[in-house]
Amino acid sequence: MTGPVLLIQDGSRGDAGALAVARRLADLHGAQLQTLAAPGAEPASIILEAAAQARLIVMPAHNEDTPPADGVGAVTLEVLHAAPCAVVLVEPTLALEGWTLKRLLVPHDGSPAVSGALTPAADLARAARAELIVLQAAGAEAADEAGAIAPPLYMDQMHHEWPAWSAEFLHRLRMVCPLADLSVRLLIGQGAPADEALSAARAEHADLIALAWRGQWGPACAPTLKAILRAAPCPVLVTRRPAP
Amino acid sequence: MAASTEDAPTLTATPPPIPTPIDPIRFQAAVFDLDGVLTGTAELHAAAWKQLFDAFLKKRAGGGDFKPFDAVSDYQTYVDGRPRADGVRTFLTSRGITLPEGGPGDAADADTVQALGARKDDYFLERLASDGVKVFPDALPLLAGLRAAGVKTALVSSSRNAKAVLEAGGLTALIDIVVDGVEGARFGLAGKPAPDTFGRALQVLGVEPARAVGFEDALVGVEAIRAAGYGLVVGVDRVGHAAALVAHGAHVAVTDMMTLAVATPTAPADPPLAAWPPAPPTFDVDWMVVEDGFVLTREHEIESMLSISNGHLGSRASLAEGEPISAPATFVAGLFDTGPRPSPTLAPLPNWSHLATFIEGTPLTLREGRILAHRRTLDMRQGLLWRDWLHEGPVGRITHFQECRLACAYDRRLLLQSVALSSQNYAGALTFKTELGEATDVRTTSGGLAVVDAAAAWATASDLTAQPARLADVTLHTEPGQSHRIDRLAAVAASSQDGQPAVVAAAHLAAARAHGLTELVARHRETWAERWQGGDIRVAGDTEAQVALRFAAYQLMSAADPSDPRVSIGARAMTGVTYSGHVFWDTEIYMLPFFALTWPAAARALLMYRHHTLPAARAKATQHGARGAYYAWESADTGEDVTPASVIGPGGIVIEIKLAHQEQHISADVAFGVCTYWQATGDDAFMLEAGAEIVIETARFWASRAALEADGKRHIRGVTGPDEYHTGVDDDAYTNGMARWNLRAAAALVGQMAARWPDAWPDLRTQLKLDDAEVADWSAAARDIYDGLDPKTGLIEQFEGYFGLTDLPLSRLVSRAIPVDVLLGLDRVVRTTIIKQPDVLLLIWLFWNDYPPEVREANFRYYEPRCAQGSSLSPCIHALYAARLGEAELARKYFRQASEIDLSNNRGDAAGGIHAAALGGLWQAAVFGFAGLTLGDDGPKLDPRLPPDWGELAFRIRWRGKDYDLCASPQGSSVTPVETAP
Repeated sequence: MTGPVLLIQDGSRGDAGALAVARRLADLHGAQLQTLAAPGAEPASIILEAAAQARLIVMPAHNEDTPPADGVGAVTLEVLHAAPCAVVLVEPTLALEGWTLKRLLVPHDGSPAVSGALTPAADLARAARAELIVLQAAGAEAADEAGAIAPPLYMDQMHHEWPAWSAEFLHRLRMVCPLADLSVRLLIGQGAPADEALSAARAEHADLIALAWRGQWGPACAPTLKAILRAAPCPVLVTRRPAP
Repeated sequence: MAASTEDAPTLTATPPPIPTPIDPIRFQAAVFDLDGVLTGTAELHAAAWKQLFDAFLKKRAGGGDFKPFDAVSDYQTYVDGRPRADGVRTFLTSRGITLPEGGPGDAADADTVQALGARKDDYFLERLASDGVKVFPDALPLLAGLRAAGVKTALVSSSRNAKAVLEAGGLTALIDIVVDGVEGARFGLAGKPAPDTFGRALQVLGVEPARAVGFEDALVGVEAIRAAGYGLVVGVDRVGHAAALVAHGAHVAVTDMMTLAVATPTAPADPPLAAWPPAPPTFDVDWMVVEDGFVLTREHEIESMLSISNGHLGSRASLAEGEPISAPATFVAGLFDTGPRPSPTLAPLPNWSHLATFIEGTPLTLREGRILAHRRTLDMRQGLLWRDWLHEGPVGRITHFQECRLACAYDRRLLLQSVALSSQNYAGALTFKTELGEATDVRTTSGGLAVVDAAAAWATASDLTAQPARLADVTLHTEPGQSHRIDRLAAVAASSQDGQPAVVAAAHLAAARAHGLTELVARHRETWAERWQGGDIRVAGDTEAQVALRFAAYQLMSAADPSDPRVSIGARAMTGVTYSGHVFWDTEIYMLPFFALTWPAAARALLMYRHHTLPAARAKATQHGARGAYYAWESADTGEDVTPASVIGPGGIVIEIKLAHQEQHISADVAFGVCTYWQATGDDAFMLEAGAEIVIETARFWASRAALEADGKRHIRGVTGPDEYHTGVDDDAYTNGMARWNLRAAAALVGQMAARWPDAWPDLRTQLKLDDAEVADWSAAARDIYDGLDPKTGLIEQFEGYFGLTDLPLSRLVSRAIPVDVLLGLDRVVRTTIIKQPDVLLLIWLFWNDYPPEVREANFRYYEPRCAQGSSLSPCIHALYAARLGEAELARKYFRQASEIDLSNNRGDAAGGIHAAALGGLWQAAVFGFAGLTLGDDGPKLDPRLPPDWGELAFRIRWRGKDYDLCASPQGSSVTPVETAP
């Protein structure tokens, strides 16, 4: 992907943060920053049309004073559904002046599909020389996809098992997502995936959270993504997860 | 030396076969008599006997006439080949003289059998020192050739001076072990013609009699070798008595032993390649582990599960074509390298099975094109790894790739790979490349050396004439429908076993090429068939359980090498790099029972590893201010503790590892293994040679470790039991219980040794500087060790203060998908009663009959719900225990959990190798749990508690030298002694 970084400005208070993030991301990619301001009527269609060649979309998560229940506004959700590239969502209330990318947090369920969706995140981390922190939450249900790796059930001798399991996890990730030259660290969270991701993002001072999304947004869908969007302390990079 | 031909046994008189060179693949050991075979000390002996008897007879005649000893006829007839005292008695009896037996303390000039024997010895040594020893010209080159080919060598002699003679003749370095008159007396071995001494040599070498060749010149010696069941008995004819040698049992008689010398490796004419497949595949699903399709990210665990091994070499089932997704690894047992790691790890060998195929320059790979079919099968019955792959390449070329691999069970230095490849729809160039094209050295940081030598032959199926090649780069033309065959052999020799690895590897490779893959595969299959006779376990009505139990037996049998007493089985055997090949306590507690009851020779070798590493255990005890032997928590080749000092754990926190200083129970576990083996086999020689020393030295450790305190009890403080969630505790129940047993066992053993080995025991006792007061202290310590048992409740407190911890029910935890210490953090878990794995329950199981039923039950009810099953060693013990309590459903649940650890792995923790100890535990759960096996002086008994859908559970064990077929079923059980062939 070699297109521009597309920044969406809607005149809301989230514009400043989105601009800071988009500028930095464009710099990192050496890409043109293309700004689309106040898209007007049917904004999602206009955004998607403008994004046809984009490598990345950066936009406010919403333009409300208080975050919507699911963390994103209607336009943003429409863009997420049909975006041809990864989308960086910026919560308007975040103070992001001088934003840089040093640590990128990747919540991961151990499935090859999620690994496969992380290439944009890996590209960003590589461009920024940022640390990639991969988090697997123990509370997550084990992915049923073939080749998925779940947290270890047995830890006979931690000093042998943990390095071995970590290496295997990262090996499987690398088999699907190019991580060469990246600094990668693996964490295991102890609770529900969203709680753990938010907790880790704060504890690790993550600058960006990268999430792979299945593309479904019904009431019972994407609970982790929704919860993270509602409370993330940093922008969130959403990529589409390929079907297994 | 040759004896009389009188009283020759009535063997069928067939012409002796034409001698042929010794095949280093068929024969693993060569055992030699000394006098008349390797050395010509007969003249020295005869002269010494003559000096002795003539002086004796002259004195007895009172100055009158007497018939002197005839240094030829009397020597050959009455004394040659016999233990010294036997020689005295036999000759004197021929003269009608009977003397008192006497003893070692007799005066030098006394007229007793023992005193005469001692005088003869003096005369002999004087002559040996003055005259030297004559070494037969064929001895040195033969021994050197055998050793160079990797054949072990042993000397068996009745002489107490055998080692001195070897030294005088410059042969010591060419002989691996000596069974001489001293050892014969020590172990109470009957002299020739009894087979005892020749059998003993093979037991020490860990070689089956059929795989040994024996050399003798004495008729009684030939009979002894024949009676010991050697595969080849060679009569050495130095005096023209070849016919007599054959009549007494020699398969062949030679005047020059070099007739049998191992052939110098040359490039033999490779036999034609066999048609595919090299062996009939197994189609019985009860014997197969099958992996269909291809999932990129699962490769590492598939490689582990489908590993092949023969105990000396282990090789992961990596894709032949070589892929970045693969983690190929081949190891040789006992060869460790420090490398970049902080502790020694098994040194990886070159990827011998790598075979990349290019079709018109395009690589044949699973990652490009379309997989039409792909199946890998571990054929456990035959120890074969199969692959069947139909692939359509990027431009539509369809190729059928079939492969069979094995780690040769017959010759442990060999690895074999056979490939059949056919074009389905194209013509063009096929190119094969391999990483291992020629002999490759692997040198370790500690000076070890392994040499991997390889050869290949290819042919087109329409003409299977072998085209030998190194396969570094072979290109051939193919047509649609045409098939091609490639056979590859790799021979591996290591300095840990072979003095000259390059020579040994070359010799085995040459011999293997001469045999041809077809014959080697056939012998490999026969060997596996023999192994399964003893190791199989059959379940009717539950295919999953059947496969799981066979998988356990397969992996365990694959991991053992009875011929190598310097290696043990690591946590992941040789199936992966995790745990670095390190050996833990679970070898003795979880794996050893399987071997002790199904393959005693393998169990013996495992325990000899502990004997070889005893010096390191003594040093560790000294370092910790204790006495005796304190075994390493993790050990590699030397027995030094190689436990890493720290690890970067979950969350990136550096965690200090203190287990090397706290998991002291391993010393008692090793001793327990010794006694488990001894009880199962009655191998007294092992106890005298090695076992007793281990049991005594470990008891000594506990006596110095368990301190008598003001309450009148002995306490062991600052330890960690099997429950590693609670470290550095006081009076861990398992540790204290095992220490108590160890002390009692040692005290009892001392009494038994003194009674059963009155001749040998004093020497060992002196060597160990053992006195009665120390033994008495062991008994007192055992009596006084704190046991934590509350007589009111029957509960044993796992350690001091355990019952005061927060009782956090496991059911309250949100997720139990990962170990609780990872889930909650060890700092929280340590404050709760949650345990990682059985501690008290394991102790009770090991000493089941020492605890009344209500104590067994009460502790299970208490501890089972508090066990987080955080170790792979946990479910099997719970399954066993629950089964013995009659908790069928619970037992079944835990058994299933244990059986899924490797086979249903989806968590990545088998990627670095299979869980060898958990597999041993699974076998124990079935045999001791579901079948309810108990063992005693009256033999094995069953008390079955089978899962409801199991129609039958059947297996064979060897108990005190006798095989039994056991069968448990809902209708009852049967224990049937196996009739051995006459």
